[in-house]
Order: sequence, then C-alpha cells, then structure tokens
Amino acid sequence: MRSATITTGPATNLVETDTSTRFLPNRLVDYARLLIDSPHPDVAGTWPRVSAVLGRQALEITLSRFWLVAEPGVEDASMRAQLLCLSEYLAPRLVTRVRYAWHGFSAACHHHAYELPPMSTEIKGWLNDVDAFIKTCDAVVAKQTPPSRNC
Amino acid sequence: MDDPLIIDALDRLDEDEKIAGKGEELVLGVLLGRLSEVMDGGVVEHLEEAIKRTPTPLLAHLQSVTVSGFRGVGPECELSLRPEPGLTLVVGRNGSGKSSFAEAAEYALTGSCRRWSGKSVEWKKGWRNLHSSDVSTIAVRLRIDGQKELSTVRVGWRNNSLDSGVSTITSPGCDDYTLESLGWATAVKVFRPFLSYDELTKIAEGRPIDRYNELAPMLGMDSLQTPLECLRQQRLAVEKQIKAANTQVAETVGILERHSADSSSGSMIGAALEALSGEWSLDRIEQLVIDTEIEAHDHERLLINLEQLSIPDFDQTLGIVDDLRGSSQKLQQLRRSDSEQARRLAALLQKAIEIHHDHGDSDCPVCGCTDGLHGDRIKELKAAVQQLNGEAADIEKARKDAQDALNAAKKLIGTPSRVLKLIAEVDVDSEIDIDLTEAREAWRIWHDTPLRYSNPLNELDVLSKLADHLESNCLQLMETTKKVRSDAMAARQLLANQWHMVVDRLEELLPVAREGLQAEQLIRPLKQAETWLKKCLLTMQDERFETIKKQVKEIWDTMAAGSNVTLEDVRLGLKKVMMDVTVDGYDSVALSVMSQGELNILALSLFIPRVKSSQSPFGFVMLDDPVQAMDPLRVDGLAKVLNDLAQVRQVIVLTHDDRLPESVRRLQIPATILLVTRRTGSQMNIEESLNPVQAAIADAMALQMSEGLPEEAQCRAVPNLCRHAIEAACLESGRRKLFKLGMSFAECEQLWEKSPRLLPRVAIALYGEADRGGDVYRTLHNKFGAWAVKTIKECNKFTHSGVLEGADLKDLIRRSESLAGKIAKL
Repeated sequence: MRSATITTGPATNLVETDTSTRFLPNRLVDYARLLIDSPHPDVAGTWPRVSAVLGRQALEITLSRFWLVAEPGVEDASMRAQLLCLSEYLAPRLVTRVRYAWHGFSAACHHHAYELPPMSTEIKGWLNDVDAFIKTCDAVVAKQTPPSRNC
Repeated sequence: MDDPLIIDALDRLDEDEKIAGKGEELVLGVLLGRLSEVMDGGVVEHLEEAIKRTPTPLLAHLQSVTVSGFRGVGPECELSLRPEPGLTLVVGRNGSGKSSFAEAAEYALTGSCRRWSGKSVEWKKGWRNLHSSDVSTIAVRLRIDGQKELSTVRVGWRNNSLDSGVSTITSPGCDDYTLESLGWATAVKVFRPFLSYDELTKIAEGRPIDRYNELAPMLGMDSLQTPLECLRQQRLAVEKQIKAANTQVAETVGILERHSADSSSGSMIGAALEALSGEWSLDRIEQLVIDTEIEAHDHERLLINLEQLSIPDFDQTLGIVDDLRGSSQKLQQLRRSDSEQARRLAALLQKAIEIHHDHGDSDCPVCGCTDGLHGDRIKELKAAVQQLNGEAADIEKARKDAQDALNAAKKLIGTPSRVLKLIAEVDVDSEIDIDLTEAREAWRIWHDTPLRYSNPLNELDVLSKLADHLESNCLQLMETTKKVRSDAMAARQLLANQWHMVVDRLEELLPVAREGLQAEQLIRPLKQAETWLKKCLLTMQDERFETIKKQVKEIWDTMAAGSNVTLEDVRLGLKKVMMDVTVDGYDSVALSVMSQGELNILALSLFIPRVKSSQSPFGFVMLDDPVQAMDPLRVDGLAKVLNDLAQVRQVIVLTHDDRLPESVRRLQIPATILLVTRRTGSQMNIEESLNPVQAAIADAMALQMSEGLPEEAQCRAVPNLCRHAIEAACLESGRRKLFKLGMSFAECEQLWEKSPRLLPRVAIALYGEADRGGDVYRTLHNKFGAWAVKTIKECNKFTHSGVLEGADLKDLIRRSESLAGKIAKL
C-alpha cells in the first residue's frame, strides 16, 4: 500500500514519479487508491464515487488495449458485449473478477434512488481486480501475439 | 372493523374447528368488542360485510407541518417537506425547537404525544409557547395517495388547556373527514410513525415489564392484547362470582347446621341443607323460604298458648279467700242451728196457731199439756215462728254465701285438665327450651285442693282449708306461671329471630348462588376462549414477528457493527421479548449486557419494521433524535438503516448535532438536510442545507478546487459528479411528475431503476416517460437553450472518457448546477 502525502497538485512525488513510467490505467488506479487511503479534506466526502469513476475508466481503457491486440474491432462493441466476449480469451476466474468490478464501479457512478455508495473495501477489491487485469493485458501486449482462443 | 389484526383473528376463528359453542361465541364477542352481550347470553353475529378489508392502504406523506404558539415555536413557522419517500434530516441545536414539529405532528395526527405521557402536569402545561400572542395552531398537510389535492389536519385551541384542542381535517371533495374516516384510528395505535428519544430510552431504563410494554406496541399486537385482557378480567370476575357463591353457600350451610341442632324446625333446615349439598337445588331453596313462613306459624302456636296461660288474679283470690273464711265462720256459728228444723218447727207452730185460730183454745196437740193452745201462748208461738223463720233464713243465707264462695274458688282454680294438658304437651315435645318443672308443680299443687277429698258443705272446716290452700299457693303459682309466660314470650321472640335470620340468609343466598351457577356455566367456555385467543395471539405474533425478525436482525447487524454483542435470536413470549445474545461468543442476557446505545439500536430495530409494514397507511415516519448515545460507527450504521428505510418511507429525522448529517454526507446518502435555528422570541428559521443535487455539485466543486487530486483524475471524476447532480434533479422532479400521473412510489422506483442512462432519466423529468429520450435534446433546447443540450452531452460523454486536460471544469459544473436547478423545478 502506497503512503503518500499530497500537498500540491500533480507535481507531488507520487504523481511525478509515476506519471512518466506508468500507463494511464495504472495511474488512474493509483489515484483511486490514493483517494481511499489518504483522502484530502477537500474530497473527504466524494471519494467513493470518484474512486469508482477512476477505477471504471482504468478498466475500460485496459479493455480497449486488450482488444486492440487480441481481437481488433471488439473495442467498439458495447461494454456488455465486450465483457461477454472476454471469457473466450481469458481464464474464467479473471473474467468473472473483471465483470464484477465493472458492474460495481458502474453502479457506483450513477445516481440511484437510494443505493449506498460502495464500501472502501469493496472498491479496493475491484481495484485489485483491475490491477490483475492490467497485468494480464500487459503480458498479452508484451508478447505482441494474441493468446490462443482457448487458453 | 378495520383492524387487520382483529380481522385476521376472526378469520382464524372461522377456520378453527377445535373451538365451538359458547367458547367460540365468547371469542367472537370479545373480538367484536361486544363481550358483555355474549356474557349475558346474547348471540353476536360476525358479518363479513362489516369488515373493511384494506389490503393496501392509501399511503399518506407529509407535505408540511406548520406550527405557531406551540411548545418551542412562537410565530408561525412551516416545516416544508417533500411528500415522497426519502430522507430528511432536520438539524438544530438543542433548544432550537425542532422537536416541537415532531410533537405537533404527533399531537395532530394521534391526539396525544408519547413524550408527554407519564410526565408531570407542569410539563403538559408548558405546551403553549411563551412568546406567542394568543393563537396556537398546528396544521399538518398531507399528500394521500390517489388524491389530487392535499389534505390538512388542523388543530386549534380554545383556551389554555391542552385538552381543549380541536382537530379538523379538510380534504377537497370530502367534507367531514376525521382521523377515523381516514382509517387511522387503529393505525395510529398499531403503526404509530413517531418515535422520540424518550421513548427509546424508556426501554432501557424501565423495568423489564416496561421494556415489554414499550416493545409490544411496536410489534403492533396491542389490538389483540386488549381483548385478551378483557377475557382475562371477565374470567377473573366469573371466578370471583363462583367463589363468592361457594363461600356464601358454605357459610349458610354452617349456620343451618348449627341451627338444626338447637332449633325446633330441624326438618326444614334439613331440607335446606339437602338442597345445598352436591348440586345446588335453588328452586327447592326458594320453595323452602316460602314454606318456612308457614311452618314457623305452626310452631309459634304452642308458645303463644304458653304465653297466654291464665294467672289467678291476686286481689280476686284474696277476696275469694275472705269470702270462704267468712262463710266458713258464719256456718260455724250456725253450726248447731238447723234451718230445716227451724223451718219445720216454725211450720209446726204456724199450724198450731192456725188450729187455735180455727178451733180456739185447747190443750197442746203434741204433748197434751194443758198449758197448750190458748191466748197468751199463741202470742208466744207467733213470736217463736218469727224467730224460727229468721233463724232458717240466716242459715240459708250463710249456706248460699258459702256456696257462692266455693263456686268462685272452683272457678278460680279452674279445670286442671287444660293447663296440665298444655304443659304435658310441651313436656313431650320438648322442642322449647323452657323450664316448666316449677310451674308444673305449682299447678299440680294448685289443683290438688281439699275439695277433692271432702264435701265442703258437710265439713265446715274444708272451706277454711280451701281458703288456706288458695292463700298459701296462689303466689307461687302466679310467679311460676308468669315466668313461664315470659319465657314463652322470649322463646317465641328468639324463634322468630332465628327463623327470620335463616330465611333472610337463604333469601340473600339465592341471587348470589344463582349468579354462581350461571358463572359456573361460563367458566369453561371463558377459559377455552382465553386459551384460544392467547394461542392465536402467540401464533400470529410469531408469524408476524418471523417476517420482521429478519429485518430486526439485519438492522441490528448493520447498526451494531463492531459490537461484541451479537443478536442471535429474538423471540416473543406473551408478555416478554426474549433476546438471545452472545457476548464475544458466550451466551448472555440481552438487555443487561447492552450499552445505552445498543439498547437504542435494539429499540430502533424493532420500531423500523413496524413503520415499514405494508399495512401501514403512513408513508412517513418521524424520529426524534435517535442519534444520542451512539458512537460514530453506530451513527454510520444508523445512516445506512435510515437510508434503507427512506427507500419506502418519507423519513424525517430530527437531530441535535452534525453527526448524522455528516455521516449522511460522507456516505453520500441522498438526503435533504434542513437547518433549524431559533432566534429570540421563538422565531424559528428553517432552511435547506444540502439536497442531493446541491451535494453532488458541492462535491464536484470541491473536487475541482482540490489540490488533493491530479488534474487528470479531476477531469475524469468531475463530469460524473455533474451528471450525478442532474440525475438527482431528474429523480426529484420525475417523481413529482409520476405521482401526479397517479403512479405509486414503488412504480416510480421501478421505472427509475429500469432506466439507468441519463437521457431516459431526463425524459422522465420532462415528460414523465422514460422512453422519450429521443425528444430530450429538442425540448431542452427550446426550454433552456443550447447550453443545456451541451451540458447533458458533455456529462454523458466525459463521464466515460473524461474531459481533456485544460478544459473548463468550472464552467461544466456551473452549467450542470444551473441545469439541475431548472430540472428540479420542472
């Protein structure tokens, strides 16, 4: 777990060191974790929803990256379709995690009549799922070859 | 008959084959509130038509509570609310007067206030605000499902007495509404949607029975407890009657037994005793009461005769004694004289005179002496005749006098037979406790006269003996007879008293015994009815409780998160609520191990399912300061529980500090927060703090201004919050629109959740229809201008991709706020 104090804007050590070396999805997940772990007084009340927004976007960007390598063209389909297709390419356990995370984020992003925002532990779990997905995606991209359809 | 519990119980009674006859009639009677009729032998019919079954009551929501001159509120002040499900926090410091609104609403809608009940008179006197001029009013406006216009419950007071408050209800189209006609008379008891902190703590601080009494109404079983109590009281009364009858019969039997030993009418008492042994024969007793009057009469006669025994008159007796003595003396004096001889001598001499008269002087015809019949001698003879006749008359008179005196004495003594017979009779019967020995002896002596042995006229001393007899015995006779007479009189008096007492006793006994017999016939059905209703209540309570038990546990688990007390089970007894709890895994006793805060949570856990009940007509619930004594973790739990409740109910929570609002804001629970302030003179001010729209905008502003998050992240998060604000506005005005179209709030929520995207949600706000998303841009453009369309589009687009860095986030927030504000007012 990262511990960072943020006093000024993007120029803080965390953001500065990571921005150059890390992909956007990683950074978004970092921001989300930052909000949960050490919320700034200004955003004390908003963290669950903002974390969810950031986590969801990290997930969606990663998914697009994955399709560009694995099956170009799928990234234009609806999210629901993309998530359904995913099971054809990745281990079922990971696919389930990704789907749950997306639905969790998605629910937190919309205004519901009465539903409570997710708990920090829930969001953290989903962020871990996104991490795992990013790693797998990184591996796929690194190979530059699409994984076999039935792995 | 609109109480769902009673109706349910009636249905169960109909179906249950095991209870029948009088028992069933009694249950029916008590459920219909007509027990006395059934007790008196009447038959109560249970008419299906009389039952108003209201499967889903029309929900009422609060539009406003307007108060003036009541409790903490001086000049008129209105607490304006959104008449729909949702959470409203009314926040004000202690003494700001916020509770007055809850009390006012409670008073107006239920006619009482639980917080005041059991409080001193001073407390009740303080209802009127010190700063108000003279007008005290409460007006509660309600939006009732299915009614286009608002209804108003208004309370006005005529004078300074709280009880003089008069409620009137006005509703367009309906003239004379009452709380009853709204169907709320029972509902306010069963589903009372008010809970004050006092009420919460009563559960904790009271005795165990108080806790139950506080908890029981929350479970809404009151309307069956009352009939059950009614039956119990009735049973006790009947048992008392039986006991009274038994006691009185036992006492009477005791008295009768005592009297049967010493009374002269044992047979009658025996009959009474027989009638009272085993099965009482009260008709026989009644007959006896009549018969004993006659019997007593027979019995009295003997005593009356004794009472009327003649006693010789003393003076008369002395007179007779004197006469007897006088005659005796006279006769004594004339003893040697013989009147007959004198009379015959006189007659002989008279004859001689007559011979001389006819024949002249002659010798004595008897002795032949020459000195016989001649002139001088005749003169002598004539004198002798006169002398002799006088002598004879004296003797005759003395005899006559003696005879008279004797007759008088005989009369005085009387015939022995009658008196002796009477006394002998008494002696044989011996029913009367009078000592007759002396009297009997006196009378025996009295009658044992010298006359019995001699002829008084031949033996002259008998007369004086008789006189002596009378003289020496009359006093004794008189005294003993007088005693007999007075004894007889006393005995008769005593007898009369005894009889009257026995008869009175029996007469008194009759109605009590009759009641007892009647009660005897009722006791079994009564017990049967009581047992049945008790079982029915327990069954229903269990059934009802089963469904709410889950909720209770959920609420407990949510609110008591982190407590070392685990609520394992909640069970209901007839007069107790049993809670199985474990403390750190060990079994324990519920209420004693709980902290104040935990007890409050428990009370809330039991309260919330009640107000959530689908049978309740109250769409709102008012909680007065449930936050007290709760630590921050509990407050978060409470906020979650309230949010959950706010899905189906208009939840109004009055609270004195910022803990709950803070929790609500932090957890981003959609809520309207009203701040109550009170200036001097009880002038109240209520202003809205942050509604969900404002909260989302405020969040977006805070995020945008924040130095705590990189711009990159801000660009991605802010549009989402903007969209959030617009969605919240859409929900607010969309609900209003849908309600107007006659949709229930449940249908509204369904429609809302079925339309997760922004455009359909705006369409709901604009048209009340979710599937007109295609018309949204055109309408927005026409209504508000191009910027509105642009805002929606940006919110939609950037929520997913984020805005480009450097874009004007502030402008987006400003436009979103403006648009949300306009939509909210649609």
